[in-house]
Amino acid sequence: MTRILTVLALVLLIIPNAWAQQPLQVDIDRGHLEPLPIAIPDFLDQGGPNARGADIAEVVRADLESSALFTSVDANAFIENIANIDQRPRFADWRVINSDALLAGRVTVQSDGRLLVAFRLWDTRLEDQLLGLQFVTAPENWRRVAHKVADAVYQRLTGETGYFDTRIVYVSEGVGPNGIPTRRLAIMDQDGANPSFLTDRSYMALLPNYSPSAQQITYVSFLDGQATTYLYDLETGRQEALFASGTRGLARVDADGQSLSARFSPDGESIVVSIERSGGHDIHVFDLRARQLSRLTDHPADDVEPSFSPDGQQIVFSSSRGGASQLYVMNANGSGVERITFGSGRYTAPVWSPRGDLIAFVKQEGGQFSLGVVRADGSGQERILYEGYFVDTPAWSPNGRVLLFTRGDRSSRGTQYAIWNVDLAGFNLRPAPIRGAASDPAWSPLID
Amino acid sequence: MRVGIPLSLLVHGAMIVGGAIYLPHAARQFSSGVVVPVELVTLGDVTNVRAAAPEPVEIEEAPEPEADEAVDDDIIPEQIAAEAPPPEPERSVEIIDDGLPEETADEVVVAEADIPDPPAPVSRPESAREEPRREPSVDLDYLSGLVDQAREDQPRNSGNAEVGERRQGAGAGTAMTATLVDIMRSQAERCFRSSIDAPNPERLNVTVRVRLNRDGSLAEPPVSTDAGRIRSSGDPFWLVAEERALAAIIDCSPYRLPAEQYSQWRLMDVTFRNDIF
Repeated sequence: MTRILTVLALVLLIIPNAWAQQPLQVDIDRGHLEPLPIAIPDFLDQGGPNARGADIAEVVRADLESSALFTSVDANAFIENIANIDQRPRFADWRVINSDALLAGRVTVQSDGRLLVAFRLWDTRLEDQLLGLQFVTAPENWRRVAHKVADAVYQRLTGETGYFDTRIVYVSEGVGPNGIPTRRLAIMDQDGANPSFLTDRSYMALLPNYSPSAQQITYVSFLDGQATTYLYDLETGRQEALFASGTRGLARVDADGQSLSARFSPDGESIVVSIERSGGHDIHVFDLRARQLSRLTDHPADDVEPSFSPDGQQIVFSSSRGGASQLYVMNANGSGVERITFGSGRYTAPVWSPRGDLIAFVKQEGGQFSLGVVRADGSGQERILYEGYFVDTPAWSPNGRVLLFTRGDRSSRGTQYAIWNVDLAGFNLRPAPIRGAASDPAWSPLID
Repeated sequence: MRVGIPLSLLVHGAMIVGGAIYLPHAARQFSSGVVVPVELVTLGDVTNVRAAAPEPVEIEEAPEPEADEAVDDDIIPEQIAAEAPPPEPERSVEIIDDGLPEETADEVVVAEADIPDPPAPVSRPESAREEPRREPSVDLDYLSGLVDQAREDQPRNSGNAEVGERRQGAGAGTAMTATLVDIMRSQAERCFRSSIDAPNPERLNVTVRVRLNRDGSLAEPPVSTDAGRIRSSGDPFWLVAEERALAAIIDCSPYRLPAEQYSQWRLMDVTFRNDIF
């Protein structure tokens, strides 16, 4: 009896004590999205003047700041001088200058002349190493290594893959020696470095799109006098017409067969394209291996601008089958067509996000153009990211975070075209680093 | 004597049970606050200009361009008239005219590898609480724009009390004082870097166990109660959300909370939500 009472007493004493320790429940459902302050001292140079530690750090800083998710802490505020990246930094020295993260790197010129680029990423508040990596490369590739470092830092601090080691193909707009307007394909690194032309002035080139391997692009050429889709191999410079009438092209179409807006499937084995046949445009898919063209839509209205979902299971396109142009989604075999936009105005240029959840579009209404995104199933509200005088050809960054687009601004010299970018939240609107008129951007996947 | 001990135990037990039943409810009254402290914020200091805002448009009589005007001839002649020299792209780096693209195949990085962790520290540095506090960085304009619609559907847990609603106060116990939860929320959210811009952010909620000293400083490093699930999920977005939650607790400490109610806030579970988008 005594034992029972003793146990009972202990239970009665313990249970209330446990209840008394119930933690206070606090919910935080607001936060901020301000840029994360990161300190990036010049990488340490070891082994000679070609190490380029300062140059690499500068490219990393520029990459991260261009995303607007990071802000680089002024080097003049640094207290600790990083002399060895293999020693833990004095975190308090970095916290006191409001640096939430620290990137410390070192560049070593190896005996074979190659660069060994090593870095450590630290969380100054948690006092923990978040990442430690090293790259080996030829000295001339130092910019690419810098972009890869920036991609690694971006991914570790945001959770999503970066987009800095990428390239952009676009249309450079100009005027030839005889006053004839020219539109030539050009290519550059995403930060504007290493630009070069891909096509010459002898013919118009438009609407490039990248293959998933980043080795090829499709584009529309007027080389044979009408809009025809070409396949361009970026490694060899070789190009071929895919769809054309007569004797040109791999797939024969009718005499009035313009082909526009070709985009690769996610596996790179086929191309979806709108082709004009008998006066109307329909969506077709072209098998690159079998060289076989198949029609997916057959409607009296124009079905144009197709784009695959990232899983390859669906295709979004614009169509005037409901009157004004709206966006529609169908299965990859052409079945199950469903309309996903119902607003007033004209919806064009749909492009499926690499994330898969959103579709970018251009909307024209009341004399105004806007760039927006809508959920792929059409649910929820549209989100308008930019409104202006003219908008066209949105192109996603490979991580689905940023959109490039053609922007036209009215001026005394007429409409001036340029490529701009904006992030998914509608922030960080800024021009792409291209001087001169440009349009029709295509963003490459991450380069292996 | 034999009767006295059991009787005493039963009486004490009844008192303890009664207290155990009543006291948690009494504590909860403070946590279901309806009054929130109001911050006066200078918009120019903390808001960003949304890119979606309509830009000033020059009012001219010219017709609106069509979507396919980029290839029309009527645009380029205007450029010709205005630009005497052929408008080749001007770049900081010289363009190789008519050249082929660079060979990308040879540019690939040869190797990538993890580098080992550095040696363990000899001594830990000063704690975060000794550093100057950061300025509030609440982006009201952006957040309100993002969450307005979502919040319309959510039950309000802050703001002014409705007519007839009893305000539950803390601190001095008057109706105008904020509750413990609201006080804590208003302080911690300033340091919380949200993950609402991640894909499907509603899955990224993180709960942090916080143990505080009476002066509001951290009694021990905050711990994620979801750490196991987050590690096993392999979700990098969730991992980042967890790190941001832990950092927020550290960054905003010490907390200013009423000392006389220390027993109620010495231990907290702070849940950082990213599901308001």
